[in-house]
Amino acid sequence: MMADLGTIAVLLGLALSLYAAASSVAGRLAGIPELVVSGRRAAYMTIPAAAIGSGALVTAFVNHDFSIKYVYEHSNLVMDREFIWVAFYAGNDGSLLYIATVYAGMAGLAIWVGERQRPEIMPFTSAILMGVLAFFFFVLAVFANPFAPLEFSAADGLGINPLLSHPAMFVHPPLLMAGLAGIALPFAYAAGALISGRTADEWLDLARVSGIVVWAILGSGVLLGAWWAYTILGWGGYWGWDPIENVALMPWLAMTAFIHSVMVQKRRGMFRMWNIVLLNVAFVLAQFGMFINRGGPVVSVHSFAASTLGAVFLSFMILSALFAFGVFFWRYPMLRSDRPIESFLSREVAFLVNNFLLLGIVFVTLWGVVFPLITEFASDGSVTVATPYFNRVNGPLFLVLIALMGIGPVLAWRKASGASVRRWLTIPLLLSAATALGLASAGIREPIAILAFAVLVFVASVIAEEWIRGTLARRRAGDNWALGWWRLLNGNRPRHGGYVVHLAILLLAFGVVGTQFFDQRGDFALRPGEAATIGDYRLVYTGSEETPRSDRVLRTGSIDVYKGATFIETLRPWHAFYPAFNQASVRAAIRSTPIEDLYVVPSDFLSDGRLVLRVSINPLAWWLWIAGPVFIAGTALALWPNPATETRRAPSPARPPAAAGPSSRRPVPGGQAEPGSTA
Amino acid sequence: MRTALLPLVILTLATVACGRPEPGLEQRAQRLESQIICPVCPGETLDQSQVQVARDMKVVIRERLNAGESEEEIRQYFVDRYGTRILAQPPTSGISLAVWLVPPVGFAAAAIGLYLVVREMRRRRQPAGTGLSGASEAGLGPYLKKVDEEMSGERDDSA
Repeated sequence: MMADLGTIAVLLGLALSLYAAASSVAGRLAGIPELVVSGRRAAYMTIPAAAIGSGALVTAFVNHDFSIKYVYEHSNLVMDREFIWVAFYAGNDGSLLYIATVYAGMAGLAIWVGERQRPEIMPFTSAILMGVLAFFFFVLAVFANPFAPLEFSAADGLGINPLLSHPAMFVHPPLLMAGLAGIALPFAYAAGALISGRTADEWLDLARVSGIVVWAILGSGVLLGAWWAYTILGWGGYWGWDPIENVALMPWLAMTAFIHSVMVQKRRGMFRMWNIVLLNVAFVLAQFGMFINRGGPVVSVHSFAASTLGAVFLSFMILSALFAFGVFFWRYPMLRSDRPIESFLSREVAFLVNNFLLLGIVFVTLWGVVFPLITEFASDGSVTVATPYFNRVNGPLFLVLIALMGIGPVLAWRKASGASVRRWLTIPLLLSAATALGLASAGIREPIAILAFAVLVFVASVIAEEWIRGTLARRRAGDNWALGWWRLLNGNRPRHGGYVVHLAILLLAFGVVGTQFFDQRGDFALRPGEAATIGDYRLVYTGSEETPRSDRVLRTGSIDVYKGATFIETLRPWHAFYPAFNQASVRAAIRSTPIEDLYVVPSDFLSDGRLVLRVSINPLAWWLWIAGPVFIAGTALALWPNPATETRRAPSPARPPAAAGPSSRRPVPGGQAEPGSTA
Repeated sequence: MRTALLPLVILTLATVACGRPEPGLEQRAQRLESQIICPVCPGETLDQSQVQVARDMKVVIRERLNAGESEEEIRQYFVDRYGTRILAQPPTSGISLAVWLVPPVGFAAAAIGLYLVVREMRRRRQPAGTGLSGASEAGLGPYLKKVDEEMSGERDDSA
């Protein structure tokens, strides 16, 4: 029953999205507005179609309808019920249905908003959005039907992969998949505008806002994945440069480049071609991610089981690339910059360097992902490209990129004066040098880590300097510290939201440097009563208890932690063995403090009664997870809509000529003259 | 700015010159563990992997270090048994030299390209001449002054 309903919903979704795409284009080309409207309504109707499909599958899971193969393969009677939601997207077919559903919602919203702001570009934009959706529905209908029946009758299902029984699984995969699919939104706005022949900035605000939203969704998904890896994979790390992690990171980096570079277009009317290229690259990289994820040729810990879908997604990726760059080159002659670059020492150039570095990291990462494939074809012995390579090549690039976060904001648009730059950078550079000196005299002997900390302090103090000076000015106007600071942030939310996001990146980098350079770890096999020592900690294994569960053997170890002679706390990591999967799932016990994490994970319970423990001290790991909320807060601040009162601050009848003339020697102050413009 | 940078540079050089203390056996073992891939779990290094094979290989590493073998000899030992794919980063020889060379060469080329493009874009402004005439700039005086007032205390780049 649910299978039939779901199948019908998928077919309906396919028909609706195809019709929506076709009639939007036909109506626009033939000049029949009714056809365009009809296409738009069909596009909205894909949302209920996809939702009914998803609802049917979830209902089948809840009712344990094992006549459906997908339900049989990803759930069973004894699994914890809340993880049925995870089981929904635990496999290839269901996750595609999830993507189709969430993407239909996002596309519908994009069409609704776009229709209100830029109706002239929307027929083609909707057609592109619906074309992508039609692809998802097509794959669901033909290659990956989640409602396919089970060939035999089964009383119970196989159950869910134990590694997925983790709270992060409720949000990490949904956000990641939504973010990857959602990159189609800014791309569709830009490409739709180009096809419509609107080659100025018609698509800009729509693409910028939707781009920042999907970028934030994707970024949160990646960070939550790191948290999941940290608490469950049991090696004490959070990022392994695994191909699947890389293919999610690459489009995020390309989008990061875009949301920086788009500011130049917004403010100065420059980089029009370049911004389109960035969106094209991000879109194609997102398709590449889906391809690698679903039956791509790269081995990974979390790719879905090998499937024939690889070829389908590869074809779609190639089609996407041809389409994106085809449109670009077709309209290329019409994409002109309003203005030239005036000086190497200018914010425009800083943004170019930012893009250069971000795309450099993308390139290195892509190269590392595909190189093993190249060698496999080119020679007999294949090679592995794993963590050490990426850390070594990307690490320095990230450090330079972070340093640039401290330099870019103090450069004026068009042409910065050396004196102004000196004035802004002297204190941060002194603080940064003092940090380096302090760390070195405190006995830290990792030159790269010292350099990294110095860079972090430099960037943080550039931001702090601007906030302090701005708040001081408002204090003179009568505000108190907190209110003054808040009003400063509110006065130009895109700019200061950007700073908050930069702070989140600094926090992340702080945690990365701490854990990469100063971690200690050890493996211990302990009998009850025995102790292990690591760093200042002494860990006494006092025993374990076994909790019977229907689907697993759950063993919780008790470990008393002493620092010196003082007892601190008892850590209880657990280890669950799932006989049906012949697989264990572990949960680390982490004593987390801002200074360091004590991380204890039970690798194995040996038959002779010993417990194998992996213990590590991860300095500053706490800051990695603080970065997440700060990142979200900064993005929200940057995107918060301007109330009407904001407009009164800029009495700007003269703005266009003031910003235009190269012969005007007066630099336009970065970002402050017009609220709402991003600097 | 240069005076502020100087101590940083000196300091970094000094730290590098001091060098790090000679790593102990455990540090060397852990360094090797992060450089060798677990043969049965795709893409995971020994220190990341939780399977028995990886644990056995960690024991082998420690035994061989105890027996006085160098890190290079131990790496070679594993390469002889499993092939170069056991190394987490490709060797700097043969075809896999390319994986190391392409990024820096690509960067250098792209950096030069970027420089040339920006220089070209700067040149274009000379004949453009679409700027303000002196008169219209003078007409904007009051507005620009107002901007300056609003800017005071905030980051202004016109200093």
